[in-house]
This record gives sequence, structure tokens and C-alpha cells, in this order.
Amino acid sequence: MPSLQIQSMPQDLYGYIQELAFSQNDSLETQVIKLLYQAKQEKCQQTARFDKLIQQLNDYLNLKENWDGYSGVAPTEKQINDAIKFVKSLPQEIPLPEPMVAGSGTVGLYWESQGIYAEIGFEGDGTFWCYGEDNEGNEAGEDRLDLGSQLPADLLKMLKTLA
Amino acid sequence: MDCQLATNQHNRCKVLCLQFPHCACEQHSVSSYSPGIVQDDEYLVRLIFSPTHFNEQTGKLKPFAFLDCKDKGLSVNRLQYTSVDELKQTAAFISCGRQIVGVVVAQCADIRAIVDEENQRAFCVYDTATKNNQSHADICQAVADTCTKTGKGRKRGSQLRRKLMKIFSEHPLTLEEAFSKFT
Repeated sequence: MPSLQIQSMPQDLYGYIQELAFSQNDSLETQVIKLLYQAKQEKCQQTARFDKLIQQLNDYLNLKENWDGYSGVAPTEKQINDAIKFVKSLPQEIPLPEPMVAGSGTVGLYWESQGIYAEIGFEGDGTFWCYGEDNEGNEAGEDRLDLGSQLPADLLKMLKTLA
Repeated sequence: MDCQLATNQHNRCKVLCLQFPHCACEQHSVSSYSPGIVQDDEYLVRLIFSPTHFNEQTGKLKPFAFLDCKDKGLSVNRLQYTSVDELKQTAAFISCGRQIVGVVVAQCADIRAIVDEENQRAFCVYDTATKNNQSHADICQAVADTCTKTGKGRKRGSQLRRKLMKIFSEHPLTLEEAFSKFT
């Protein structure tokens, strides 16, 4: 195992770890290992959340016609794949959304946290729509964006505050 | 086409919006099984199922539990014309393997009071009773993306449906709780 070159860290990071080590009565080396382990755990959790979201979206493929008892339409593979493609293209600093599906077969994603609400909808035509609002009455969104397009800057800004 | 025929279409909200704008068909009963047009003071309940309508982690509704009002109509039941037992039967009939979580409730007047930025009524409520579900009603969006073919107005539609969702109770109630609180 390579030895830790703690002294070669940027000064501010070194100071931060030194403070943590002091407050927890650890050596610098122990504190660095603890932080690396924590980062690894967070990465594992993020991967698990991502896998779960993809699984939930893929599970919509199991819905049959009339799945809601009111002539509900089953989502198409295209609608589900559009949503999955979108999730995979999300910037890392934006938390993962929750999945949802409607009786029309429309597949959606949403965030609802800290006074911010945002939704994305996929109707399977290679486009998506998006809408967001915060608790100060600001709104963002677009009626129609081609799949692969970036989210509008004002919506991205809203979502980044959730990170 | 008359109002009854329009509400029998699968994509009824779009048909109603294009052929009978401004909730014109609310003035007429649209079903021969109906106890009458939906009055403003009536309470309407939406059956909520997991996992399609409900986020188990937050205990809150998923927003697309309300998206049906954009096209085929958001199915609700009129509280004063149904009972706990009848709603349980309906829930069992339409569950299709999903788990019933409960209901969310709103008063019809509050739904009808939602307007868009041009002060147009955003949602209409129709008495779409069926032979086996006589308290059934539909909430239909009457503006924005319901009334376009190009996807125009989808953002505005989302904003209005968000308002609709906020009018319903945030967390589902049991059927017994809903009846004891609203009847």
C-alpha cells in the first residue's frame, strides 16, 4: 500500500484535515483514511440510488394496458429509454430525481425538496418538457426540448441548490 | 357531437377543450347514470395507489397522479354519492396489482376556482358516472397543453396541475378518515 503524502496536500485541505483530526483525537493518517472511506461509502450509496432509479423506470415496462383500471396506456420502451437516457446525462451536482408514470403512458421524473419542485415529462417523441418552481414564486421550464439538450439554465440553477 | 358523446371519447379532455371550451359541458349532465351535475360544495376523492401514485419514502403523492386531467380525465368519486364499502370495491376493481394507500380529497369549488394567467378556468368537473360506478366524475384540464397538438403549453400545464395537486390533501387519508372528516 503506498504511503500517504499528507504534507503534499493543498494547504487548505491539510488545515481542514488537521482540524478534524484534532477534534476527534486522531492522527492525520487515520483521519485521511476515515475521509476516504466515507467518500467511498457515499459513492456506493449514489450508485445504489442510481441503479434503483433505473430499475424503477424499467419496471414500468411490466405495466399492461388498462394498468390503472381506467383504460391506462402502458408506457412504451421508447418513453422509458428516453427517461433513462436523460437520467444518465444529468450533471453530477444535481441529485437524482424520483420516477413517475401517468395513465397516458407518459413517463416522468421529479424533484420535491427544500421548497423546490421540478418535473420532466417524456411522451416518447424524442423530446421532453420541463417545469420548475421555488418557494419564492420563481418559475423555470420549457414546453419542448430535444432529447440530449441541456436543461434551461434557470432550472439547472434551481436544481443545483438541492445538492 | 354533443357533451355526452364528447365525454365518452378516450381522450375526452382534449375533445372537450377543442369542441366545448370554457367548461361549457359542465352545465349538462353527461351520463344517464349520474345523480346530477357536480355541485361546487361537493367533495371529490381520488383513490391513491402505490407505487404508481405514491412515494413510499416521503409519504407524499407523485405529481403524475394528477396528469390524467390533461388527456383522458382525472378519475375521482363524489363523496356524497358513495360509501367506504363502495370505494373499497372500486379500488379492488381498478387496483390491477397495485396497493391502495388511501384517498386525497378536494372541494369542487376550489378546483373550479383555479385560473390561468389570462383568467380562464383551468379545470372543469364532469359527472361521468358509469353503470358500475355512479359516483364517478372526471376533472379535465381546459387550457394549455390539453388544447394544443404540438406540445405547446406543456410548461404552463405543469404549473396549473401543480396548483390542482396542492388543492388536494398532501398526504392520503384512509377511506374511513375521509368520510368522517368530509361528510
